[in-house]
Amino acid sequence: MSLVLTLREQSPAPDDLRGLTPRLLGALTPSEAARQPLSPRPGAGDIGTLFKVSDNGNAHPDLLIVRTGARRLDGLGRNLDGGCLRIEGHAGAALGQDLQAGEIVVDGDCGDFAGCGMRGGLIRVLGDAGHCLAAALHDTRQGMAGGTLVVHGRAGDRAGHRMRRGLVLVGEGCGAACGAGMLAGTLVTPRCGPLPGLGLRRGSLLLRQAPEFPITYNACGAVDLTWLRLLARAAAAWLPGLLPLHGLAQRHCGDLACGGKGEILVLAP
Amino acid sequence: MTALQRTETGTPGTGEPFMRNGVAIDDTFAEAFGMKATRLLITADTLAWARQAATSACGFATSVIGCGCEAGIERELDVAATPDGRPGVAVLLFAVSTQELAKQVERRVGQCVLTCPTTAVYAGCASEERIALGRNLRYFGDGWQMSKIVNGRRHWRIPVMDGEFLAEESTGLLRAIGGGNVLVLGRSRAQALAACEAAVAAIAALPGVIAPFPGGIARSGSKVGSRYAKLPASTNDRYCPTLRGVTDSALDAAVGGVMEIVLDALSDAEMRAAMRAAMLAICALGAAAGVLRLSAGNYGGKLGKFHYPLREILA
Repeated sequence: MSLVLTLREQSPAPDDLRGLTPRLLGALTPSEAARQPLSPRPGAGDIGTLFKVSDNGNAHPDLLIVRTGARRLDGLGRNLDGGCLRIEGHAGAALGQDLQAGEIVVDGDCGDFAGCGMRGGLIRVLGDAGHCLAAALHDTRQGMAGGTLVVHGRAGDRAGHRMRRGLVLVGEGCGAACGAGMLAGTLVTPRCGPLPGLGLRRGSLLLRQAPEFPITYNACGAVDLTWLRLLARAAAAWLPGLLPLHGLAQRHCGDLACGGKGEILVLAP
Repeated sequence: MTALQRTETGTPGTGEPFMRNGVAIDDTFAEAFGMKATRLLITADTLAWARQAATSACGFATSVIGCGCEAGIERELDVAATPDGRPGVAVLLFAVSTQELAKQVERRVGQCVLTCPTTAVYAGCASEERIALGRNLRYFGDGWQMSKIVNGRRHWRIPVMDGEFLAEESTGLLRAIGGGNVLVLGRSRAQALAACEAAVAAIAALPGVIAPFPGGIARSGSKVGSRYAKLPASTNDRYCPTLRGVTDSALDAAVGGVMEIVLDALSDAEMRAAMRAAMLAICALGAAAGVLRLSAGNYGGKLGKFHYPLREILA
């Protein structure tokens, strides 16, 4: 069966929801699940104090549904290591922080720092994402370190900031300083705000529209990259049409102030 | 009922003469060995260039005795069947050990695929055990190479003069079988060759199998050992028509030429299917085309783990 956790109105905002994983709750009945702690931290309240727990009748123990309504809970899917967590509603900040494996699907929007520190798995946000998508938290050296993060709508500023590895697909565009300080990995979006790729060391920023390049980027000319064909076919599973199936692009290498081993690729139509 | 079926005689295992369309099938078996193998997918902008790279990579790979590995083109791939949507070719490589296979893959891909215009190379088989594909070749990029993980598989983008060479990090290691064979005894050399050509054409359509010798056919079948101590193998004098009368010949006076089809396959079932397809194609030509006998090479069953009795496979 699949458990459904519906957020109670007037409930306090929790700061740690690591107990909400399919692996911990999937084999339990609704009443058993309601008695489980919200997180492994000592003193954490029970799930039942925050959520009404029910069973939706589907035989998918690896699926956990959390209905948040209009409220935005922070830290959903933190440290998830398997199964599927579906958020029906919006999610708050730090969605899927340190995600290891499994899948998180958000029907609505998510807050800042989604996917920060994630090392594997898949996050799909069907709405928009906040600032610092897949970016490094203030006290960490690197952002997303693996897996795939898909945002169907827009993302805010500093998407991919100091991202280390993995793939980020943003369907409708990113804000300013997209890919700034990237260490590696790939970020794809049709358009972005000013100063993309500033301080980018390695890694690839793929755009459909030419941005206003920082002066520390040099044009390499037109290229035909087999890798882009491969990536386009993989990305089509999540966001069809985001990448053209051919491998043609204009390549700009940079940031030359940081070694110049990264790139911004402006994809040919 | 076909003409082929009408002329069948004999029952396997009874000691009776076993004939197919006038072709005598010896009561013997092919003896084959366990090998390590991998499949590579080579793509390029055009099928011609993919085929060129594959042909080069599979060059000088007829026998592990002298070449380090046995390799061949398994099949050509449509754009829908390749990871990057370009035309491609699947090749199979077989070697006697994991280390030797890894060495051969690296050398052949490095010298024949990386160098060939517009190509890319991918693993063509899934396996927990892996050997390096692009892992070491990436250093050709002299620090400009980039790693990209797509669909959970790491690829290396290596800058080259026509753009980039893309190589998957590693490829699967498979346990396979090498050394399946059929000896074709013809009334003349030309007739034995024509029969083998028909057999190779039949095998070409099958997955998971290659015939690594030139055109799929060997005219120099070998036996183990030699009167010269340094040689591990030497001519199979029992099947040499010119030595009839001076050796313990396996040939009667009517045989004018013998050819051998050697097969490597990824599984026992694929080996049996290939041997059966080869023998059926030859027998379809029959005695009327000058095919007299089918036989097989073995070492008395003492060396190879896999035995393929001709009559049983053809029954």
